[in-house]
Amino acid sequence: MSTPAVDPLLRLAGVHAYIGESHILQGVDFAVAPNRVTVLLGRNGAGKTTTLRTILGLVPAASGTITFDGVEIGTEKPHHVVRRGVGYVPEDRDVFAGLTVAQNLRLAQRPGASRERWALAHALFPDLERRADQRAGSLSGGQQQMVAIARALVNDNRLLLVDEPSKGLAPVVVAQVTEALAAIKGTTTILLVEQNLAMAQALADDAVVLDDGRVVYTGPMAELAADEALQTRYLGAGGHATAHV
Amino acid sequence: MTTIVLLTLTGLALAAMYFLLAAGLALIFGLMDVLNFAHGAFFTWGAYSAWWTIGRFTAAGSQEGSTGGFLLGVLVAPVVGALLAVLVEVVLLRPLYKRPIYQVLVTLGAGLMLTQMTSVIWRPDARFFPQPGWLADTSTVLGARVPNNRFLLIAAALVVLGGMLLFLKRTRYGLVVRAGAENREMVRALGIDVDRAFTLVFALGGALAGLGGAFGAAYFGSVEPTFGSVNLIFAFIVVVIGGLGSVTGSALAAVIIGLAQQFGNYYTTWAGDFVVVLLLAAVLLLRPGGLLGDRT
Repeated sequence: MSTPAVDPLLRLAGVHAYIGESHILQGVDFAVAPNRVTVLLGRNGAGKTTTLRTILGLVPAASGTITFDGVEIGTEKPHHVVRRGVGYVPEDRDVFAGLTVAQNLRLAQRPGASRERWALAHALFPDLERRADQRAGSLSGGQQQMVAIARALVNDNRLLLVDEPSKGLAPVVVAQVTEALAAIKGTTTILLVEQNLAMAQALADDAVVLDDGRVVYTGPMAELAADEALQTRYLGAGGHATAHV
Repeated sequence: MTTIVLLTLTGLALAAMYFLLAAGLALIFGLMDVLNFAHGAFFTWGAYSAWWTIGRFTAAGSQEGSTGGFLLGVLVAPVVGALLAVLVEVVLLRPLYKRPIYQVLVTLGAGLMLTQMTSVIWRPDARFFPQPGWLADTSTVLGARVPNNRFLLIAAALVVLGGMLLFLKRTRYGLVVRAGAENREMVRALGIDVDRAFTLVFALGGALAGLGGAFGAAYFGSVEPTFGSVNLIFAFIVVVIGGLGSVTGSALAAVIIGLAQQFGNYYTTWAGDFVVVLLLAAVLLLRPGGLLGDRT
């Protein structure tokens, strides 16, 4: 990474991970600087989602180290990792359909979380306040995404792992989600997996590109966005600014 | 009319006992996807521990237990049920959460072993369950003389149903259970220790089974080692008819099964269990997810 002179908040070193027999992460190395947005890019199947799930402990790291704020978390259980201040917004939102919006958020809020965070989540997504008693399963995809992000925002998290927040959403909702993530940028570190180049460009300071479970590029997002040759080489985007990378 | 009233109240009491046994099963399956065949043994041990406790407060040769002994027995039974449940969950099930077939085998084995232990410790034959006089007495309802223990059993089940609904809807652990039944991994990803929730749910289920055993012993007036395994079959039927994982569904199904058994047995002398099986088949064919369940 070109940017940080400060110690990274998160560092992965030589991380290998398997799903079943498949060797998905094959020695992943990168670092995430504090209070910046780092986007994780790559073709489908490159290992982006698995990287987030491995950091969280949902997929066990077979080898290598994952350090969060100087502490090795690679062998910890997910609830221990999360309690260190790591929030997760999964790819498919995974809201609890049978619970109301308010219950989804109450469940997510850890004991001791500040009231300000609850207020922030509702300020960023005012619709959630109005729909507090509505079952999450009856919400639209965009509203469910807001619940999923709000669940991560109601805690004093220092790192958010956000997996494809724009996936399957209408442009107007993507804009709202982008705005919400931009609002916390600078105060919370975000590791973002995103296929939507426009969203990635709008939010990210740094970029990490994965290919076949290995890191093939780390550097400023602006550099990657400006260089069509780099995009073509690592992402197969062909230099189309609006293409999914 | 008198017969109808008696059959209805007795059927509801039987339903209450089935519900106490089935509620824990439904909860455990809902959160953990575990078909717990050891559950009947928690029921049996609850019955025996209540019987043993009451026996400490009953004069030798007396058929009547003391109120204090009975109340203490009703407190001890769920504690014993919960402790056994925690033991089974932590020691036997926890290493097998990714191997469902092994879970079935290990709970079946644990159930058989725990049941056999009651035979070894307290002999295999049925033992009289002494009750306080007021509990064994009858009250007259619309001309029908109904044993008071029926009312107590119904009241206990109503309290448990209300408590469980409050627990599931109003408490954080209740939310964990409901959310865990939908998506266990996402609950983990929210920083919640799902293993601890599993143990709590197992303990709660065991406690309810133990309580059911104590009240069931009062209902039948005796305890014996096969007490739990016989009733476990009907509890599983209740859970399936009610909808896997649905506590309210279990309550509704327990009422249907309890009444069907009582009326079936009274009017035909043989059809009670047959009607239950017919009901099960009908539900499986017409509504495979159960009356109030959303899972097939």
